[in-house]
Amino acid sequence: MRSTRRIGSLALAASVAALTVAACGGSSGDSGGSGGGDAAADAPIKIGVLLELTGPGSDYGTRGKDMIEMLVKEYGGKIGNHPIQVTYADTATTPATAVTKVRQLVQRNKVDVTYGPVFSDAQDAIAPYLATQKKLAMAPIGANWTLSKYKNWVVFPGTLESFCGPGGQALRDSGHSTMTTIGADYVAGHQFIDPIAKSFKDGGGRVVQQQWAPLGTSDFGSYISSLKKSDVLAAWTIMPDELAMMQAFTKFKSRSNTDLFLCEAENVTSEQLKETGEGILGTTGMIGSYSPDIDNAANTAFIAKVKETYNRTPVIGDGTNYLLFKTLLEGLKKTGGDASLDVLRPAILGLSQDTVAGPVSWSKNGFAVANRYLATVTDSGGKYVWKTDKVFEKVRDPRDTE
Amino acid sequence: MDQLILTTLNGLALASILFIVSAGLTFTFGVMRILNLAHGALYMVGAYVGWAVAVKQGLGFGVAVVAGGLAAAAIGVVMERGFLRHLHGGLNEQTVLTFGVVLILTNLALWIWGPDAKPAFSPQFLSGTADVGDVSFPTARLGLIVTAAAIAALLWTIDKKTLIGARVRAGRDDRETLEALGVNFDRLAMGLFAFGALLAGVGGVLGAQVLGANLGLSSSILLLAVAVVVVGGLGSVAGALLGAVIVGLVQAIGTGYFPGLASFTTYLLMVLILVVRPTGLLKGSEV
Repeated sequence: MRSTRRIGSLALAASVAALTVAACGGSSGDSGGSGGGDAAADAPIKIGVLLELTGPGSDYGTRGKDMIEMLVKEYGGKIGNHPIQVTYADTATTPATAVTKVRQLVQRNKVDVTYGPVFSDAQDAIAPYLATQKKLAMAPIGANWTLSKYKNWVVFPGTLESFCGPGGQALRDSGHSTMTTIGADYVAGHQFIDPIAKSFKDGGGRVVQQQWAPLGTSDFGSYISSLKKSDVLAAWTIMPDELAMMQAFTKFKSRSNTDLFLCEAENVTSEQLKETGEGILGTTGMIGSYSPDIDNAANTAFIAKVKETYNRTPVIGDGTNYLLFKTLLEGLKKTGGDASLDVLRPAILGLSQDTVAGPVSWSKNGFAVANRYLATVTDSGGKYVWKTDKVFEKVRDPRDTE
Repeated sequence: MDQLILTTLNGLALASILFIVSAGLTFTFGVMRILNLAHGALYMVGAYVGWAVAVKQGLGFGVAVVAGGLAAAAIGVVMERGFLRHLHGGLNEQTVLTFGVVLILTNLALWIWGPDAKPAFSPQFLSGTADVGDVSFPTARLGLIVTAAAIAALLWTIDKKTLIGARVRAGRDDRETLEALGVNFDRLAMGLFAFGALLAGVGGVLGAQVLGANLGLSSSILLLAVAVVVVGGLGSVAGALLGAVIVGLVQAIGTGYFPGLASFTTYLLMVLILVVRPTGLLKGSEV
């Protein structure tokens, strides 16, 4: 009996571990064909889309896929006479899988351009290979500055460091003197949190404690309750962890007068804000990419279209992917369907658009020059929204000089 | 001192969720030898159904607990009657099949409730905070601890003091003899599997007071439940309770005092137990 139980325990643990690894392998789906196609006038434009369709990043990936499908329909499935042929591959939110899948897209599916993934570690992992292949690559929802050296990327809305940096000074301006931070314990967590902590300190503030929570943290009670006293907690992590963090903050809030500031505030939908409860009202944050609460004509039309197509209000994963994939299609329109790196990338970087996230232009390094919005959670007729308090225009990474 | 109290209470709240889930897992694997990797997905279904009933429909938390539990139990019955009863002893086949169920349930949840995570929800009377000594603590978490303790007492009573419990323990030890005594093990197995699934679903709704509902729960809860079963030992209520308390406290203390090691502490504990005491801390006590 002892050996049975021992084998049972080991088998259970091993099976779960093995299947977790297997699940991360994911699978790819092909929405188009491969086909030969060369320079013919009606040759298809082959776009390889690499997204987080499963795993912790699947919210971004599945929304991205929806937006791409909506856009391809919007463009009638073609650019000029060139049919748009999209092949999807799932990174399973792991860089190693992304590397395998991008090679398949390029070598087996012979794609002309690649789009995605969202997560910066996977982008970094595939970048050296794509550079050798001289393929244009598009990075939605930010990227590392290291991509600039390859000269083949187009990134919206810019580096991760550029999302939240202005927030530190804004918090100083609103009278906060001390700050604690909670960030996701991986590279992007530092890229979001470090700039706001730096600008807060540069403005004369003091950062009294920094905590880093692993991805997948579903209960932040212990993190929040072990925070030192401060005027403001600046936080960034991914969904659904961020929701858990906000909820723990509001539940334990009665212990202190600490305010909450969310980097990439657009991660949290209006419905989620409402369900978090009244304690979330007054929370401030920085919208770094896209939010349905950004007030402009393009966004109003986009929201209506997404509601009509998918019966939902778009959020960050929808808006950013829509904006960037549309940019790709607009670039292709400009080149008449020529997807070669030397032609298409300059065409895209020359675009100046009024987008769902406001005016967007592009630096020569391939990074967007776009707005950031300082916003507060406000009750708007029973609906909780991010109300813009201040617009930081044409924000770019400090290293992105031309 | 305040932080120690809060950390301990947070650990016990997490332990409460883990106990309810692991109790179901430990029965299905420890007693029936069915490796149900979909147990975490059943928890997730319970959480989503609970959210739909309590938040979207506004029918109350108690109704949500019943609905979440019954939904998971119904899926459990379909799994057991439709597939798993044909696979007794086939560990590999069970693994592949239940993993397939995880994918199906996760995608069904995505299709029905969308990709957005659902915030935590609790009964109105537990929505505030309570003073515990010099600190305040969310009452929903205190309520969860009390509820889990009540469920533990109920499960212990069923296991030790009822005819059903006696049959389950007998089936765990010697299935052939039990059947020779006229007990329909097939029916008992179905009931036990459905009960394990029901516990997962109920755990999903109760746990949603802290964790909310999201698609990632199917794997994250399963991994923690496996850690609990490995630490506590297979097949017993006491083992699940002990394992859950240890894993919950280790997780909370790791997070509160060594946040840089938080993702590491629970699994280090699991590895140590597997090396030092592979049958779990309560080995042989009830099997």
